[in-house]
Amino acid sequence: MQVFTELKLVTRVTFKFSNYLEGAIAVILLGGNLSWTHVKEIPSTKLLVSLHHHRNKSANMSVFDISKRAQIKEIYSLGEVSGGSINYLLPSCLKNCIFSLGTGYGDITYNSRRNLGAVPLDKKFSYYLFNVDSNASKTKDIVKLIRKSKCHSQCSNHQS
Amino acid sequence: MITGLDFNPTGEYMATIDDGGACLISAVTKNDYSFHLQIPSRRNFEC
Repeated sequence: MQVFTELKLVTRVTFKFSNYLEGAIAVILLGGNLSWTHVKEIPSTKLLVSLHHHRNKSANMSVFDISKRAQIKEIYSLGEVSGGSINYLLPSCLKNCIFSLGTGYGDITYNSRRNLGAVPLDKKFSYYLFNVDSNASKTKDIVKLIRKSKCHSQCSNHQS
Repeated sequence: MITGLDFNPTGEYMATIDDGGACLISAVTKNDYSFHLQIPSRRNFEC
């Protein structure tokens, strides 16, 4: 039986603090690992997207076919995206704790009209854009990376 | 680093916001953007 390694992490969550990185997005840090997972079902399909980020190490994304409950199958994996190191200095109330984050906090979005999905994964690109065709005859054609959108000049280039 | 993103309803445009507060709206098929807003930083706040 297929094992969702990212989902297993959820069972070991120790809540530390949330919503603290410049107020941009709520972040839940998992006990000791400083890693977190987003899981989202693609509407009107039997596909599940799992996005896992680990602070300064890496991020990866997989898509699972959950149409057969007894046989959950990974149909697409982007592979590991390595992260750099960005230091965050937290205020004095958190004892000036410094930690690193190089592959972002993670987010997933999907547009049903055009069957497009997007995730931000690293500093080089704003987001990775995917086409999702759940009716494709071949498994390899269900999810396809179609574009890596470059960061625009107006994107912040500071290290927070 | 992009911290949040979403499509418009027709899927033609993408809105992103990064960890520095830069909000951009751009066509998904193009490299240029059509709207930009810099949200003021809250980095200097005190606990």
